[in-house]
This record gives sequence, structure tokens and C-alpha cells, in this order.
Amino acid sequence: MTRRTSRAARDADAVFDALGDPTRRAIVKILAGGPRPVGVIADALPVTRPAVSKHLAILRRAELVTARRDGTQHIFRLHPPGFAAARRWLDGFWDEALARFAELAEGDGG
Amino acid sequence: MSEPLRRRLVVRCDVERAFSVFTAQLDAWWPASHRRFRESVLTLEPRVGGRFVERSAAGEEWELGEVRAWDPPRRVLYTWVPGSRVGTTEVEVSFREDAEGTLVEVTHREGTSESWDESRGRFERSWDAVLATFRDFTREAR
Repeated sequence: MTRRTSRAARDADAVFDALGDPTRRAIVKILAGGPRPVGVIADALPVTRPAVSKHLAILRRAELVTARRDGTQHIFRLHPPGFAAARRWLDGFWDEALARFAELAEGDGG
Repeated sequence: MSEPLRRRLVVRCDVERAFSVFTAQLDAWWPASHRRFRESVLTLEPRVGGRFVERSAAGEEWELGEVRAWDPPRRVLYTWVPGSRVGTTEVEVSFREDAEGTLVEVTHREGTSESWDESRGRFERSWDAVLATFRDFTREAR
């Protein structure tokens, strides 16, 4: 149980870190329109192609996007399950917090 | 995360006690997994504009949010930044008499419904937009 909580927290941290950057949020927005190669993403943003590649690598590590090779280029797409980690983290928080709260409120102390 | 997260529970005690345990004794029920410091004390200052703060044993302070509504023993609303890079979220808790004790309702939502500074507001709108877009996307993908 403890291990699952910390795993969830780690996953959520990666998601929050990845989405904490405005360029990466812009990339997610672009990819919400469908799979795209790096070049097309870079054209839509005021940043260089190597910079976009770096941001995509971070989004991939957070499992928010996946890549597939198509000839000489990589096609990036959103990976929906990755986004659920943040929500799971908060769900887990309230489950634990409110169980403890109820125990305390119904206890004799105070 | 754009959909508000809701929890309802009935606790077998009166409204005053439920409110007091939730606010004044917040440190006692707040899980260790969601703290910044290993040994710390969390405080929700009991007034509008009061700070929601975590203090480490060494005296470091970490500001988690701010109290926006303080109506003891019925309702409390405070902002909470759950992680250093997460936008501001808002937690609203209401307490009502129930046949068995007190009905506690928690609503945890993205962003804030009340005024907040501009830059933060812009950040939240963009975050909301991303997640809303994403939600539509996942719905279509199903």
C-alpha cells in the first residue's frame, strides 16, 4: 500500500513537472489535435526544433506522449493513461485523509 | 483533473466538532505522503486571508495556500497548491447536521472561483484549457 502511494506520487510528480512548462502545455494542446512529427510541432511554436525535441523527451518520460517511427521521422501522439496519474494521486490523498479525519472526529479526544 | 473531485462522508459527531477537527486539527489527519518535509506541522490560520502553511521541524516554512472563506462551523474554503509546479486548486468543505451526526462534503477543484492575481489566473486558464482539450480527446479515443 505504502509502495503504491509513493509510486502514484512519483508518477504524479512527473506529470506535474512535465505540464508545469508553458511550451510543453502548448505541445500537448497541439497533439490533442492528432499525431504530429517534430517538425510540424516546431513550426507551430516560437521555439527551435531541438528545443521541441527536448520538451518531447520530457513528455515521453512522464508517459504523456508516445512516439512511433515512420520512415526517417518520429510521429508523436498523446498517451491518455499518463494523464490519469495526477488525478489518482489526489484521489488517494482524499481517501486516506478523510478516513483519518473521520477516525479523529469520532474519537474521544478533544 | 478538470472535473472537481468530490467526497461525502458522515461522521458521528456534531457539526462544531467536525469543523474543528477538520480545520484546527488538520495536521493530525493530513497524510504524511503529501507533505513537503519529513517532520512538519500544518496550520490553517482561522480567518479569511489566513495562511495555509507547512512548517518543518527546522523552522522552514512552505506556503500551501490561503483561506478564502471562513464560516465556522458550516463552511471553509481555502486554496491549495498541491505541488511546486501545480497550479492553484481550491478546496471547499461544508458541514451539515445529519441524522447520524455531520455530513461533510469536500469539493476539490482546479483553479479558483474567487479573484486571484492575473498571472496565476492566466496560468490556470491555460492549464484548464489543456486538460479540457485532453478530456475531449480521451472521450473521442474511447
